[in-house]
Amino acid sequence: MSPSTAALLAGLVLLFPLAGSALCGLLGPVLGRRFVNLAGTLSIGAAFAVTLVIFVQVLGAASGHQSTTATLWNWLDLGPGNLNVSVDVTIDQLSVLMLLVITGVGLLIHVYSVGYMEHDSGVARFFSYMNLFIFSMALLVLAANLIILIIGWAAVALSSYLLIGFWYERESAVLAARKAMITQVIGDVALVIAAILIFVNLRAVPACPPNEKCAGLPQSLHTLSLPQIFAHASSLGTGSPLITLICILLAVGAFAKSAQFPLHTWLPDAMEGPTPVSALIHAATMVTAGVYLIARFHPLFDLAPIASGMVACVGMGTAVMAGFIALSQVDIKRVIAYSTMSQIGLMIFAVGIGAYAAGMYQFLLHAFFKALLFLAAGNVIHAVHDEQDIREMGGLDSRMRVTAWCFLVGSLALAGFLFAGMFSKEDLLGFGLLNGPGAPALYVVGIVVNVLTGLYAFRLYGTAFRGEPRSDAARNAHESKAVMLWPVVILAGLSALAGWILQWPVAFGPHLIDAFLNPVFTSPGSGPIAKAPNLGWGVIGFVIGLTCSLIGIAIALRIWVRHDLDPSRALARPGLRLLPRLSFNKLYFDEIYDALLVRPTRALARGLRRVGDPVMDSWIKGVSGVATDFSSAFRTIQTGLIRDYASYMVLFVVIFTVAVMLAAGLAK
Amino acid sequence: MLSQAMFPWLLLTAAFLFTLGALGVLIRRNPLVVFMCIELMLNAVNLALVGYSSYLNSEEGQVFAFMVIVVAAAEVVVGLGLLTRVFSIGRELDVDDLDEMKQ
Repeated sequence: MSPSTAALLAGLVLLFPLAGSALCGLLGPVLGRRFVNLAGTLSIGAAFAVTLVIFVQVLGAASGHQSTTATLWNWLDLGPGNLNVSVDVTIDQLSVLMLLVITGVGLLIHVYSVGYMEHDSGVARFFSYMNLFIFSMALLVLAANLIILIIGWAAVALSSYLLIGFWYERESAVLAARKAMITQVIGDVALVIAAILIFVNLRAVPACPPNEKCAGLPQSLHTLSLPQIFAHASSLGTGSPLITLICILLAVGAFAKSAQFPLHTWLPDAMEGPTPVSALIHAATMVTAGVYLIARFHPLFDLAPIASGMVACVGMGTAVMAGFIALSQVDIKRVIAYSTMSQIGLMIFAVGIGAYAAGMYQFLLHAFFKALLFLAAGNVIHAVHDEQDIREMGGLDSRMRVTAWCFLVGSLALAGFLFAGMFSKEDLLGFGLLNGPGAPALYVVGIVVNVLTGLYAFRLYGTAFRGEPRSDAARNAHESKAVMLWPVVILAGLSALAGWILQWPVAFGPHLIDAFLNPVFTSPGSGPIAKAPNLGWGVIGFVIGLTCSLIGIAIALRIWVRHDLDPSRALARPGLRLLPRLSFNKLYFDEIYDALLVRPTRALARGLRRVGDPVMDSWIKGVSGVATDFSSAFRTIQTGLIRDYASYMVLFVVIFTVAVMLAAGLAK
Repeated sequence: MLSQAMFPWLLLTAAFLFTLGALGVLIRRNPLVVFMCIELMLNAVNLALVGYSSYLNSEEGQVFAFMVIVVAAAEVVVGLGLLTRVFSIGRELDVDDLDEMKQ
């Protein structure tokens, strides 16, 4: 692909959603619902069509020429040797895979939203924000300049904030939006610091021939262009404190965006937004931006084993923690939110151990089945009149047949049996057998995650869909209409088939995504990537993983569907008694943060106010007092009586005349 | 031709009329009377203009007096229009009563 074609196509992908956002936001309230529905979905449809063209172009390009970087325009130029930011886009396998998911799943979710927001008066605002999100996310994955990437990074946080707080008359939604924004900003700041460090320290490679004295270090490159950063990454040192620090900062940015420990608390609260938002932003795309960031910056992470190891540990830790919490949540969307956190933890683990393609494979399949689960949950929530507590549901499988079947497909895909998750998760964990810090220690944790996933996925399915209805709303539930059903069915088809198609005919070992993405991750200049398990290890890993998933599913089915296994007695034992409470209260993270951060800050603010108030007040009151006194002296002459104004006029004319006459007399 | 001796008297008459008008504007409360007083002031100025014109043997003063007459006519149109509006909304015709400019 020539740079000009790349620039044109990338520009179109960016332009369509942006135009859609502007049209919906500016003209939507005037032209009405039909226009908004059309403009909002067609813009994404057009972006998806362009993405398909890009995909075909990338597939058809000769090997070694699939990555194209093009400049749209030069945005900021502070002269040679100084900051120079041009709006660059990179089209390669990684960005095109992300774009396919963003616009493809995005399109399905937009179509679904037409039905979901049917009775909401803010539909123009909704589609405007959703289109803005697609634009920002496309900017983020296309960016070939760190500044542009950070702009996209912040813009997705903005659209996430706007959409979480979409129902702004609800206090909880506004608080959740604020929490998400504040957490994201922590990540933004980390990214900006990393960018500054790179900008200052990046030097041309080869910096200095070995065994030779150089006159001095070569000049800093002073660039933030990603291809340049990657080409000269080794000038930051291999395993040096500097590159470790940079990678840890990048990882903190990724953790904030991908809801990883310790910056994860915003994601469950983000479920306050409309369900399509949860599906698109907080499951399929935005929260996986952290995975993308680490995969994109793989030349740096390859050089920083300590940072990569930390990323792997945090990812796996979050996966276990979120899986454990998901076991006892009662809000249908929160259970899925914690499962998202857990699955993204696995992706982060994968990119942490260098299995980038495996992480992106999990991202792709996860986007399908997680969007499916959320949209199906949206149908359920609609059917039971905005009830989200799964204890109030039950027995929905006979009342909402299609949704129930789709949800079952999603749950199986999530738990990793037969459908999507089976392929990507076992593939990813297989890498864990041989790679990562202290391998295979994290792999053992990984199979625990597998059991947990089976447990919570089928606890959710069993409680919400099986058994007898436990409320009037559930008893009277009925199936959603076609516009909300078709996207769910398509996503269910994708979840069921995508894995098989990509990996036909064997369910383990290399797959098409591997082959497609590996050129990106083995490009010259990057270090070693994870060692792929050979066939023997692959089979062993696959069998162990699948067995653990099945154990989890089986236990869940016995407890929550057949009710012939009661965990409460086992959990009543001392030592285990705490577990349910810990899980239900989300390990008390919110309370801990409240005690450690919020309260001290508030106390500090209150203390400062006590000290500052008198000082500042005397100041400001002094200034304003002067103005008040001055003006009150003049206020009395404004009576509103024409007579008075006329008298002033006459008075001043007389004074003026006399003054002129005196002056004339003096001049003589 | 005006005699030289009469000219100061003419100016004094104009000044007297002007002061009379000004006092009327400031003191009277009936807007119609205020109006008439304004006319009195304008005509006092006209008298002075015409007097000067004759005294200095130039036409400019007379031309200017015509301008003043035209402006005065226009001003009467606007002013009386305002007065009828004030009257028609049921307000008392009293300049002291119309003090909304204070707010």
